Amino acid sequence: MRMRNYFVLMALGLALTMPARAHADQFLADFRGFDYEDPNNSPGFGNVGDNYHSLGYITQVNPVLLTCDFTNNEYTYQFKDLTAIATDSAPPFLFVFYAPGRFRIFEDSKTSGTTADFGVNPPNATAPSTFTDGTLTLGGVVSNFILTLDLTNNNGSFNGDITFDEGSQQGSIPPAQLTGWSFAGLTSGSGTGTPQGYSHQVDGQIRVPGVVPAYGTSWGMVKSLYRH
Amino acid sequence: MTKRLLRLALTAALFVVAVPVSAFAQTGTVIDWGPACYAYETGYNATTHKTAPGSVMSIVGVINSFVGPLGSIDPNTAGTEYTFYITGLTANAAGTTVAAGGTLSVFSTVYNGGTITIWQGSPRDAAFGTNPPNATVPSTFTNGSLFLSGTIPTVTINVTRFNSNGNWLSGNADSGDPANCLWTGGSAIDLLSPGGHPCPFRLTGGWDMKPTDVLAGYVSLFDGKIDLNCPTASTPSTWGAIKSQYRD
Repeated sequence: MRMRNYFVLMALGLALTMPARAHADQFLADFRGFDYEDPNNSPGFGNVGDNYHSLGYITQVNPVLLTCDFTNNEYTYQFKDLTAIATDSAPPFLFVFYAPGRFRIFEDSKTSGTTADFGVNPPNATAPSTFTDGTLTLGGVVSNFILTLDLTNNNGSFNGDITFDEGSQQGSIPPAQLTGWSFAGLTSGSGTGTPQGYSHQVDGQIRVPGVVPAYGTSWGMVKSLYRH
Repeated sequence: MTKRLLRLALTAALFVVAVPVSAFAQTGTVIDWGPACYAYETGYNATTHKTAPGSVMSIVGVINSFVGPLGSIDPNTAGTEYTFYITGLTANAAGTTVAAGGTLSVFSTVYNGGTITIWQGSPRDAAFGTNPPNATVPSTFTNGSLFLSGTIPTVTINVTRFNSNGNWLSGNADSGDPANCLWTGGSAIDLLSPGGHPCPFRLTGGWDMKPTDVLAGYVSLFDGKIDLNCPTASTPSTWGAIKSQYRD
C-alpha cells in the first residue's frame, strides 16, 4: 500500500519534461573575407589536389552563443586545408568536393594585437598569420564541403558542415548545438576589392541547430506512449 | 617648312587629351548584412523549386556593417537601425532554368528592373513577421529617413540542389560584373559620389533556402553586401604635356 501511494504521489507531483518538435537553425556568426588556393597545383581554380583556404573578418555573432567585444577586439576567421578530391560539372557550373579541413575564429586585441592584413599572393608575411593570432575562440572540423562555381562569371557558393571541438568558448555552446554548418556566396571581378592573389570575395554565415524546447508532462502520459 | 611647323604647333595647342589622375578609387564592400535579411516573391513554386516568369522578388533586411566611405557610421548604435528594401526584381521570360549534373544541379533565375532604398530609423523596430507583405513588411524596413536609394537593373540567383531529393545545398545572388547598379538619392549619396558622380555598385551574397532557416512565407535568407566600383576620374591635358613626361 505504501509503495502504491508512493507511485501515486510521484505521478501527481512529477512534472516531466518532454522535447518538443525541433526548431529552426540558429545563427552563430557572420563573416566576410577572401579565398585562395595553396597549394594551387594546377592552373585555374578548383582542380583536384588544390587546397582551399579563406580568411576574413567575423562581422556579427549571436550573443546568446558567443561573447564577443567588437569595440576592443578584432575577430577573424580561417577556413583551411580543404583539399579538392573530386569534381562534377553542369556547364557552365563546376562542383568541387573537398576532404575535411578546419574552421577557426580568433579574437585579437585592437590595442595590443596585430591588425589583420590580407597582403597579396597568399600565403604571405601577414596572411594567414595576422588572421590566426590572438585567442582561439572557436574551431572545428569542416566536412562535406562542396563548392559551386559559375565558370562564366567566376562567382559561386559553398556549403559545409562544421563540428566544433576546440576554442575558449566551445564550452559556452550547448553540446546539441556543436554540430553546425556554413554557407557563403563567392564573388570575383571589378568592385569586389579582391587583393591580388586571392580568388573570390566570400560572404556567409555559420549556423547551428536550433534549441529544442521542452514542455511539461506527467509520468502517466509518458507511460501511455509506450503501452501496446 | 615654317607653315608646317606652325600647323604642328597649332595642333599641339588645340589637341586635348584626357589623362587619368589619381582619384577616390574606392572599390570593395561598403554595406554588409547577415542573418537579418529575407527575400519573398510572388511566383515561386516550392515543389518544383522554380520561379515563374514575371514573378516579383522583394528583399528586406537590417544592415550590420558599413565600410570604406561609410565606415564612420555605426549601424549597431543603440536605438538606431539601418534597414533596406529591394523590390521590383522581375523574373525574365525564361523563369528558372536548370543545369543538371551527375549528383547536383543549379537552378538559375534572372531578375530585372529592381530598386533599393536604405533607411535610417529609430527605434529599432524592423520585424519580418510571416507571409509578407504583412503588417510590418515592408513598412518597418522603409521608415525613418532615406539614407540611400538606387536602381538594380538585374540580379542572377543560382541555387545548387541535390538531384536525389531536391534539397538545397548552396546559393548565391549577383547583380553582375561590371557593377551596373546606380545610386539615385538619399542623405548619404555624396559619400559615394567622388566628384559629384555616384559610383556604380554591385549586389552579391549567399542565398540560403534551407527550410529550417527561412521564415514562413519567405523564400530565402540572403546574407549579402554591396560593393562599390568607382571609376578613375580623368582631367584634360595636351599632347605636348604628355610627351614632356617621357623626355629625358
